[in-house]
This record gives sequence, structure tokens and C-alpha cells, in this order.
Amino acid sequence: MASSAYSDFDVIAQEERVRDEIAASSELVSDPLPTSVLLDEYKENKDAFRDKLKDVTSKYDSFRRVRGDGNCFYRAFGFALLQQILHRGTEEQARKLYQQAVASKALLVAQGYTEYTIEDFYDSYVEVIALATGFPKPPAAYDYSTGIPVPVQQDANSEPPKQLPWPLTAQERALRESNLLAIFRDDPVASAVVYYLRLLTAGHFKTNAEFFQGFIEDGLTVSEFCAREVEVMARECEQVHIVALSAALDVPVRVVYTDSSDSTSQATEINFQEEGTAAPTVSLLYRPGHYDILYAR
Amino acid sequence: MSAKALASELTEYQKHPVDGFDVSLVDDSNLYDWRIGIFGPPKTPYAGGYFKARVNFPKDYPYSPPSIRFETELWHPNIFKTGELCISILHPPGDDPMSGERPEERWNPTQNVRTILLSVISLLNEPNTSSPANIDASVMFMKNLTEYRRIVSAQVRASQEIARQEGVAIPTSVEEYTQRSRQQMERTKQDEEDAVDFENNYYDDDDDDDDGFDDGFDDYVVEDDDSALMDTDADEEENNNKTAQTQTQMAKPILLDSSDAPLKQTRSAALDLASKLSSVTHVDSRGDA
Repeated sequence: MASSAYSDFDVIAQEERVRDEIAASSELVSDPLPTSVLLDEYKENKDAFRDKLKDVTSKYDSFRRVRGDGNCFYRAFGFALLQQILHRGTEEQARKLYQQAVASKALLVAQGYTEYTIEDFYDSYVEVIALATGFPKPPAAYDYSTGIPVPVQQDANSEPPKQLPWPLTAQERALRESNLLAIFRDDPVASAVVYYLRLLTAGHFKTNAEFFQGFIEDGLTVSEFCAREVEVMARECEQVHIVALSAALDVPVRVVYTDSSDSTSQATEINFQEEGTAAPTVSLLYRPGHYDILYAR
Repeated sequence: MSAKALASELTEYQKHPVDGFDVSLVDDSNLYDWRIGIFGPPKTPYAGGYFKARVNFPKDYPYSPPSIRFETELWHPNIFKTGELCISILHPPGDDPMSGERPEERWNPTQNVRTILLSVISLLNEPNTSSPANIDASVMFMKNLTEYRRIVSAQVRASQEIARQEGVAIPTSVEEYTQRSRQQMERTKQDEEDAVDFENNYYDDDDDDDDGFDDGFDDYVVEDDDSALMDTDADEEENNNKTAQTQTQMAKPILLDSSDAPLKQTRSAALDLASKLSSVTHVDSRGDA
């Protein structure tokens, strides 16, 4: 920093401007669009990339764009997971996902995270998971109604939260989906969910450090790798992150890879945690450097 | 969310003060602009000083770090002459000129004002001359410590005058310095967390790259070899526990005293301070995170 003519204040102001520009030009999670839009978008391309997109459109009829801000994998995964469980999940999957979410904070604390520093992220995550799995919204830890947070006394004798009769009615699902979409478009809360998914990813890396060490380059330890690449926002993810997160949640993920290499005209599909039991498969479209959400025909 | 996070942090610090700090809002209607008063840690050249700084939070805090600007003039290698503080915890990890700093000493959303303030105290004790913001101060710190301390003492005296005018009482002994938090500790059980956090961060400064300033510095870097050695150990041992790491950091010299005797005093004062504060023996392994 010494030789730089720019101070922290300049850098932060510049970063805020860039973020605002990106925010103004793209939604965090778009409405669903027909996959044919992608073909129009790349109509100038005559290479294998377009062939692969054609392949995608034959199997998937719609997709949602997710903002390309370095968090797109986590954001796409998070929203797609909630939608899958809400619309297609079994009662057992929904209960598993919810119970796992509630138990996750203690697991992270056991991994060395300080509880109060992850509390806010955890609360937001459990809130969206509860919405998608038919559980009531968990009681808030703090009351913010006066502007000053006051801890809420939890009633020790209260009943454990009850899941709504599953499957939810179509009306209930539609309502919950629109709430989820609103949350995912509301930056601060959406960021908290995204960040908690990063923590879950990092927690899984650390719990299975011996296994993951072999995938980590540059002589970094698993902890260093997490500090540098996972536990900060806007760091892009690689396949190893997908391996970790899908395993951490036991959620099957299918990534449809498209690029312009001409070895094949088919999009390559890779399944992560194929036998995962906590949700139906989450499908994502990969274009170099970016993930979006895909919906099968 | 950032407003919510900031409101709860502010309440937290007013309820459980961080030793050596006063925290308030500049304007009650703006949660993003804080004023902190920093009391110079006892038995350092900054002892008895009262240094005011502004903390500005970005809209997406805690996903991006705040920035800190001193309002009181302070001669220090890591404070720009404009008052801006340059410290690794306020920067996310990345491939930038502040390399050599460990990623866990960088910004991430689980950091907070408390961890920043503890890093600031560490930085006052032990400047990071490998990436100076005030090159003149940095050179003087390395080449002419007497003059460096003379300038700091003058600033401390000036700050005391301001404190007197504002009716701020400056703690001078270790007892007074830690009093507010000790009172809190007696009152509440919840302090376990805070003490753990203190233990975890007080020595967790941003200056593990000691090896960078060997030249002209050996007089003061009494245990340079040792700490370099231990750093290597810490890097290699994936699961080394926090106790070992805390000892590593405690064993590091506090650089501002030029002879052995005061150095020992400073260190024992620091240890004393730590033991007074952390009556809790909980071991937190986040250090190797």
C-alpha cells in the first residue's frame, strides 16, 4: 500500500461504484427465461459453444440469470435448492434439510468459528430453509423494533417447531416461492444466505481436510485456502467447492458445462453427490466463469 | 442487514466495552459513522494518550470492511499523514501489495469492530514496517527510536490536553485500563465469549512477517529467530491448537522498548493484562482458520 497513490478510502469508494453499476444492470436472481434466449444471445457464434447451447435447450426449457458478482455459484445453488425442495422435495428430504440447517451452527462452532460472528448469517439461512421446507420461521434472537436490538427471551417450554402437512398446497408453495424470490433479491439478506453457504462449504473442507488437501494448490493448507477463497465474498468457486458444498448438505448437483472447445458438440454434464438424499437434484448451467439456474423440460 | 448488524454491534460494545476503547456514534441518526476513542495501552510509548478516530462502514458491511481515519495526529508507520489507518484486517485477502500477511489476518465477514480494535492495539504496540503508510515514521522507527518516541510523547501530551478539555478520564494503570470490562465480567455470564474472543485476537496482530525488517533492527528484535521458527511450525501444523499459537504470539517481542529490562516489563504487563481479562480457559482453534 505504501507505494500506492490511492488510499483505502479511494479504493472503497471505487469498489462501491463498481458494485452499484453491476447492481443497476442485473438482478441478483432474474425471472425465468426460455433457454432459447441463450441461442439469440450467441447467434454470432458459429463454434462449438453454440452447438452446446443448442444441446442445453433441447434438455432444459428455462433458466434464471444470476448476478455475476463472484458469488454466482452459491447464489444459484441456494435459490435452486430452495425451489427444488419446495416444489419437488419429499417430506423426508424437507425435514432432513431443515434439521441439518438447525444443527449446522454447532458444527461450525466445533470447527472453530466464533458463535456470535456467524449468528446473523445462520439466522438468515435457517429462515429461508424454514420457508422452503414448511417449517415456521424460527423466533428471532433479537427484537429490532426500537432500533436497538434487545435479546428475545426464548420460552424453554415451547413446543419444537412443527412442519406443515406435506406436500404443501399449490397456493402455499406459490406464496413461499415469491417470498423466497423477494429475499434473494434483497441484497443484505441474500448476502447473508450466500455467506452462510460459503461457511458451510469451508466447514466441510475443514472437517475433511485430509481428503481435500490433495486438491489444493500453491502449498496452501486447507485452512489457508478457506480463508483466501471461501470465507470471503466475491471469490469465485471451482469444482472442488461444488464437491464440498453438495457433500456438506447431501444435495445432488448437476452442472451442465458449455464452452467453445470443439472436442464435442454436446454440453458436458457432471453430477456431484449424485445419491444425495436431502433434496432433488439442483441443475446449474456453467458458461466460462459463470453459473445460472437451469430447469429441465 | 448492515444496519441491523451495526446496531447490534454498537449495543454490544456499549454493554461489553473493549479494553482501551470508547465507542459512540458521530451522529445518532447515522449508524455508518462511528467515533472511537483509543486509550494508549499502558507501558507503551502511547500510554496515557487519548486518540480519536472515525470508523466509516460501507453499505454492505460486514461483507466489505470499514475504514478508519485518525482525527488525532499520530506518528506511526502504519498511519498515513492524513490519519488513515493501514492495517491488514481492513483488507480482504488477495494478490495485492500487502502480501506476506496471513489470510486469517485479513477482512472477512466474520470479523467485526472488536477484532479490528484488538488489531489496532497490537499495531500500536508493534508497527508493521514491511508495508508502511508513513515512510518517514517507519524509517525513524527503525533508525532513530529515541526521536520516534519523543514525537509520540509530544503527541500523547497534546492528546491529554484535548482529553482534559473534553472531560475524558484517561486510564493510566493496567488496573484502570481493564476495569470496565472486569466489572462487566463480574456482572454477566455471557462474557465467556468476549474473553475467548480477546484471547483469540489480542495477540493476533498483523505482523507475522517480521523477517522483512532484519536490517538495523536486531537491537530490538530480541527473539526474531524464535518467532520466525514458530511461524513456520504454525504453518506446517495444520491442527496445532490455539494454546500453542497463543504462546507463539505471546513470545513475540513487543518492539518499542530498546533495552531488555523494559522489554520484559512490557511483555509481562501484556501477559498480565491478558490473564486479567481472560479468566476463561476455553481454547478456540480459529487461529489456524
